[in-house]
Amino acid sequence: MSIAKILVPLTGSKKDSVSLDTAFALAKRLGAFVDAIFIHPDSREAIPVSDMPISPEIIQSIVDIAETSRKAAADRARESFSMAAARWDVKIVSSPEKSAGITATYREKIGHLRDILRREACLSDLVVFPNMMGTDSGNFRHALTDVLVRYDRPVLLCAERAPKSVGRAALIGWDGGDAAAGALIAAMPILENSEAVQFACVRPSGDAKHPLREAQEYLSLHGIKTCETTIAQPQAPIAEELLDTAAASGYDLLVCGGYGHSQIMETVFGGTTDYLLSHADVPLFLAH
Amino acid sequence: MSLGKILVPLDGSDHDEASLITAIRAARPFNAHVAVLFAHPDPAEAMPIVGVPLSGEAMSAVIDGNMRIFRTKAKRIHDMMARAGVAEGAHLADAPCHGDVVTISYREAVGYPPQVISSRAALADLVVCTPAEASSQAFETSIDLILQARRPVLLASSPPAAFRKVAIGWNESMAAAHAISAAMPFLEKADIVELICMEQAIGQSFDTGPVMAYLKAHGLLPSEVHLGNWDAPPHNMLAKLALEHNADLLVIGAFGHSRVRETLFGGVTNETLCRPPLPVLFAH
Repeated sequence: MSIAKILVPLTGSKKDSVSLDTAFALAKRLGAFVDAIFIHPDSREAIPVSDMPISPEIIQSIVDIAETSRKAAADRARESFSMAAARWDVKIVSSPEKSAGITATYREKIGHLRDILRREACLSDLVVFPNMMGTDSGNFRHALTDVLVRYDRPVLLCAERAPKSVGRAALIGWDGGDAAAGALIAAMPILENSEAVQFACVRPSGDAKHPLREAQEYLSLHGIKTCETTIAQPQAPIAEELLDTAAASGYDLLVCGGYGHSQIMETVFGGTTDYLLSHADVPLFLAH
Repeated sequence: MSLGKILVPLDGSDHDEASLITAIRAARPFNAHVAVLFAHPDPAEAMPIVGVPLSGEAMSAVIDGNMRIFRTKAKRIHDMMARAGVAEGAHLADAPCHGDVVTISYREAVGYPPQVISSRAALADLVVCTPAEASSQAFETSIDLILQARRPVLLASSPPAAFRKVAIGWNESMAAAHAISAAMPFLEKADIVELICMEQAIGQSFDTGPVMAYLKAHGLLPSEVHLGNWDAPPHNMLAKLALEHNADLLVIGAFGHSRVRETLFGGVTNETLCRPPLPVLFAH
């Protein structure tokens, strides 16, 4: 397990630039290959289902409009890619290769996001998702859940703004559950290259399945020294506390377990989902 | 990504030495830590269920007997660790530590072994287990639980000299993709990597483009072997083929088929789980 191939689904909106900056920032630390892919459904699927017969002219015009908007979105995605690639001094390659710097490729695919990700995510080490703020993010939110839970690949959720670096200093939300342990192990390729790693314990009592000292011992066996803070009595939902701690102390990555039956998961994906997904001001690494 | 912690659950049986040596040799390229775990039930809880109430003396005799058995097993494991550890050039440490050589530590845990083992596996990079045939029921259940917890398992009947040539059993399934990423530390250190494609029907051929691209992103250039008509004799054919190709390790996705089908037709994984002819790395 190492992170060498990072998949970035593009939306054709302004968010692409943040997604790509996040992916390139991480790829730079890890010497990884970035696979940017713009996915759009077939324009003919824009035809509405209706009891009334629709005249061929109307159908044609609907398809034409959908096609125009797809092309415009694809143009924006391509432009975001080439501008981000120029900013990060990326070497564009046609097929993946391992090199010291950042390599990347850009592809366009017609189909449904979730179908295409099913094929692509399994053979990627990490999938970068855009920040979920905005109205059109339902599709991406389902895809994120799929990738995490069904295809069991780690996910990096972008912050609202482009980061300068990702993974230089990492904060790990630790509740001693299986999901947290899974996220810690999945994040190892990043943590091995981090300058500072800190645990934020959200359930400090001794009844955790995996006590903090075991996690610290695991990291020390990889030569990683850690420190810890404890969020003993959260004033706000845990997710909010974690994000605040991360932002206040200058961490550029928050590592959390997702969809375990842990406190973090319930908080992250329960009541405060919207808060976290739309207010994330640090990149968020999630694994199931 | 490197291996940092390899967990080896042992039970005081004859196969312990093979498991420990396999773990040490897997740890060697990374100077990783090998954590030996002896999990046994609470002696007081391992009471026989009989129709009549047991007298106090009988109960304490049973507990004492259990204690003696566990102490004997623990001593066997200790002796074997000292012997095999020295022979393999590993350093015995009191507590897990990261160093310039492979280190070994020993821990005991009381509880239902499969539960204890799978719980400890959650924070390990790899678990080296005893093949089902040579082990107790408890280990078989442990392997199941560890795979469910998405940790890779390495099984070996006898330890290989080193993991130089690695074969991958590829069938386009999600489990196989997970197995490849779990095996990355081995693949990155291997001299030769071979992708064995298990096509289901004659004439069918996988599009290996995506998987080759993934491996190439990791700096690997595997050779391809195609097996048309894979489904006919599943049994241990994949492992046998890997052995014929002089592979030191076979990487396969566990339970790519449904468990029912695996059980009915003795699928690839079940058969290989019992009698691996070469070291096998499983991931779910």
